[in-house]
Amino acid sequence: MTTNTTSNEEKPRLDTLPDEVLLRIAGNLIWTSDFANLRQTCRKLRGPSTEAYIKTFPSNTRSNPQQEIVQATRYVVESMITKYGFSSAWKARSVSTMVLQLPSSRKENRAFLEARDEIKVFEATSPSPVQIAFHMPSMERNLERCKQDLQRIRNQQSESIPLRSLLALFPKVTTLKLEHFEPLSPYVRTSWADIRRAVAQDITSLTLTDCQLSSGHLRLFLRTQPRLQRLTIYACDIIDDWTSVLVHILLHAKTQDVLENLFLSRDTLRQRGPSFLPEGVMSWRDRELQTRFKTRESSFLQANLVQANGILAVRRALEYVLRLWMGGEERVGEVVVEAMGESEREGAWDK
Amino acid sequence: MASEGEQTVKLVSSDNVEIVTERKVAERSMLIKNMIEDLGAPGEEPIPIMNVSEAVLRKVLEWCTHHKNDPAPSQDDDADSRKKTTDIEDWDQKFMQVDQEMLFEIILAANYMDIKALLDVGCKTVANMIKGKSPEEIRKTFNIQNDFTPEEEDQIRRENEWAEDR
Repeated sequence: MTTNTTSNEEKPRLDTLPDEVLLRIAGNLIWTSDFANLRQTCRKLRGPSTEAYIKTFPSNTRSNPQQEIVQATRYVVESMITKYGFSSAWKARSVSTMVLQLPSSRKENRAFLEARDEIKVFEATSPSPVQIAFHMPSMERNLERCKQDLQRIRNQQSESIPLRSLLALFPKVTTLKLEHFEPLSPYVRTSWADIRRAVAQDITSLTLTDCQLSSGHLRLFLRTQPRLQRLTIYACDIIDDWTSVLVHILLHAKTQDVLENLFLSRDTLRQRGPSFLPEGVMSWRDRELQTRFKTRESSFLQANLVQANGILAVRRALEYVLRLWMGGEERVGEVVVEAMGESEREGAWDK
Repeated sequence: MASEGEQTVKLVSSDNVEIVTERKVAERSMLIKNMIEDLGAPGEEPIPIMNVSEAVLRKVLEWCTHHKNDPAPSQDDDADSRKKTTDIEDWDQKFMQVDQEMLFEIILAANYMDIKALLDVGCKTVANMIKGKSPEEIRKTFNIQNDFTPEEEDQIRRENEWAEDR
């Protein structure tokens, strides 16, 4: 009762099955401690299983319950740490870039794909859109009940990996990319304050992609990051208004003397939405500022702009250029703030 | 001319035994299905199944006969099939109640003959045998030699602390 390829001495056994078959078996155990036990059985079962876990992580996060996703997240973080030797101190210290991908209630959950000197971490807090729809209270129910329901869902379904502990593993991270962070969602437990507490004070480059933020969030975050030199905001939802955000950045830049220029780019504007700017902002008093903005596809603003022109003038100028470029869009494609002398940039706006 | 369902094909096992079966049954195997399409004349030329012995081939065909009217597998089946380990039909569970050697032979044959559903059932069966067992119990169940040193075992245990229930 053997196949042609196996003699009596080579009867098929679990640890002699081909890798692709082992992966399939491991795939059935993938979210459990059984999987860890299997990996401890022998070397052969240890190797491919790690890869299996990582390969199937993205597809499984779309179809598995919250608890399993959390377990998987923990595994993936641990296995990546092990796989790339981050448990050794010098390796961990060599990691300079970290991407935190947070779940979005509007988009499919994402998972990290690879890590070389980058670590991408998935925080499992978001139920699938179907679950959200199921839990959404009907219009007839009273508001208080709705709030209670949402809080209950939040308490039950939100579980986050300890960001602070995680980031503490990588003390030399200087570039942080934060993606899909929606603190206003009732399904997300992590707040801007959590992020602020978790991130060390050595960040020199921060990228916010598809996040919800307000000028207040940003201002408080920037206060804890004295070494920040480059800030990129891409396709974010602004809770208050863009002008406030930009003015706060400029104010912070001037106060901290770190961010010198604010670069606004028209090229990557996208995501049309309702107008956020008030009507009638065309009646400017600071014509010169406006003219300078108008003639450029992109602009650099110096940090001392506020001091030289006054907040009101800068604010109005910013409103003008944003309105001109975005035509009422509520999401800016890209805003980059970086510490770079204006002479290093062609076309820098000279006050 | 016989309809496709009534047609038969000849399969030859690795130990050179000829087995005649319904084309529809045989075509649960993508390997055979493709070979039939390539040969163009089913029933005439025997199809060699090089890596599978008669006993295993008969067992595989038994499964294919029971499942011959199942819908054709789709590409999504591969991902979906991994969701739950306990989703094995009663008939399949009984079918898989064989000794371990035969179980692995069936899995290898399913893999070779490209019968994803059977491969899946086999893998789920093995996964269920692993469930709830300690590493030592898994080794004992599957007669696996522990090739880790005590130091390595300690290290692995530490690495796997994440999996302990909190």
